[in-house]
Amino acid sequence: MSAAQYTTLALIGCGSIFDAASVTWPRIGSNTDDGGVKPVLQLLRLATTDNITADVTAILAELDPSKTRVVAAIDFNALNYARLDAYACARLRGFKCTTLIHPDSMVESDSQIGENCWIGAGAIIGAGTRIGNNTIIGAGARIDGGVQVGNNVWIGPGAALGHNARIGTHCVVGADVKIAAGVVLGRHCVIELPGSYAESLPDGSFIDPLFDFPVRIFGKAARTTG
Amino acid sequence: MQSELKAQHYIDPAIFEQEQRKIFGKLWIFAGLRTLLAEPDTFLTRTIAGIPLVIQNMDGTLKAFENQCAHRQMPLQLEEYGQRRLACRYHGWTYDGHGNVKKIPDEQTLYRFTKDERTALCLREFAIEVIGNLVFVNVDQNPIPIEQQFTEEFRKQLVDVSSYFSSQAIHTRIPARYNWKLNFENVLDSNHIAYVHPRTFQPFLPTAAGKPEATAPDTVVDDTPLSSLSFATAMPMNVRPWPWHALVDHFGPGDTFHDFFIYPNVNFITVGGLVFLIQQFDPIAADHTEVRMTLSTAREKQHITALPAILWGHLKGETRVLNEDKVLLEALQARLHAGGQPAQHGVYETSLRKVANVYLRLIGEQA
Repeated sequence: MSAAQYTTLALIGCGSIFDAASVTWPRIGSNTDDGGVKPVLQLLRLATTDNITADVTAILAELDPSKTRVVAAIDFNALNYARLDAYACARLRGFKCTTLIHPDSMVESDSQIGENCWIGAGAIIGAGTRIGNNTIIGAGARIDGGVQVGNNVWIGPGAALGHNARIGTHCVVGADVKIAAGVVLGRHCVIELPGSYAESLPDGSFIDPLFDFPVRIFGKAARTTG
Repeated sequence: MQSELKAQHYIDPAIFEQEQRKIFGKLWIFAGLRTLLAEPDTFLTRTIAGIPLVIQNMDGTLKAFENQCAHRQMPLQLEEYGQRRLACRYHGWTYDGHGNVKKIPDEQTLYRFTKDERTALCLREFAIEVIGNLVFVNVDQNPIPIEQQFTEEFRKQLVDVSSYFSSQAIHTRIPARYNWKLNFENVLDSNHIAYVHPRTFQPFLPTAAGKPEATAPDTVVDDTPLSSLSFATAMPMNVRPWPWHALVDHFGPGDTFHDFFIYPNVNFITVGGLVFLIQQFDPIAADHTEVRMTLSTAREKQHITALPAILWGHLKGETRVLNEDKVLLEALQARLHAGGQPAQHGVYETSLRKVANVYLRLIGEQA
């Protein structure tokens, strides 16, 4: 597909990121790799994410992969699996996905950002950072140099990741959560309680205002033959 | 009908100490899930009747030991669940599957125990019973036969239902400022659901479900057998379908809410045989309970990548239901006082009267 054939950007999803991306679209210009012609934004709002695969599949059936790029913009529903389902649907059907970067963010030139990401207003992405696919960096978040953020992650508004911190896949770092330098969050970790965190967390750890004590997933994934 | 339990049974520290010795120190107490202890050296730690315990997979056999090193009483394992050999972090002593000290670093130079002293170095071991995937411990030196506490039929039911557990579970503890008995009584009383959980639980029940059956006013509860307090019930439930339901082997017919009451302090439910929640009301003090929540799904037919999200979502939902009970039970507890009136039971609350009857016998207040 040549850049010239890419005429439409389909924004599919719901929630705060969907709203932020749609509002910001008029100000987003040059990062869409469109050869100078800005694509038309097509807003495809989902009512819910309960039937995400079926709903997104139905939407994509009406679109032309050769002329359309997709942004799956869904908040951290189900540890970001809802957004992953939408993103995976698009990729499996031959659509390319685009990352949107707010013009008021600051992104160091040597940072690496995957596809289907959103970098919010005022976010600061430091030198040498690596951000995986399908990851959201909220407004005003600060990602210090050398940080690695995995695929399918949510970094909430105003959150901060210290130098060389590592965030595993499917994590949720909530608004105003500060992760100290060098801290490692395993896969499927959630910190939704604002505050400063200086200790690493193993896979499947959850810190949430609903709970007084940390929550953990124990045991090993089943070995199945299916 | 006036309850046989008085306010003191919920607020008096002296009675709490009696319970610790005569109930939790005598009965089989649920300790944890075998599914989380399947690998070598996997362990869980608990405190039952004031005794710190480690339950550990020792070469394929589950063993329950006092979680204190024979040397200086340092806990051998620190985490609630984990995988680590049975060894002391303090001075490196290690233990074998019988609780005997296996190796002491620099033993000949630093300790020089006599032969008799060395032989006596071992951990206190406690009785353990595994019913399906449920692990029970009894810290009494002469434990009652398990069939005295749980009927054969009930044990078969537990074996059957727990065989559907997935190999992963999500777990937490929720502190609550009330006596443990209030929560066990609360789960026995399904009449509260419509009033306390009108939006979280009640909508999933068909109109008639959840309403308890009344018994005859003159139902006698004297000499209630201990084993009758642990039983299972089931009622229809509108289970909301999710795509992952097709990926697991579910227990029993769908659209059913199964409720298992395991005396003295466990309520174990399944939602459609798809999600299993064990709530244990762990007594900490007369007015302080920790609700231990352990939730798993039915076993997977194929790998479910989003399983952590499913576990987390369901645990949050169940915790919101618990919190609706908790706010009321804490208010109840806060206003109990020595001169207060006992509860008045209706004819639907026979199960509460039976629990009180057994409880008073166990703590020695009734013959």
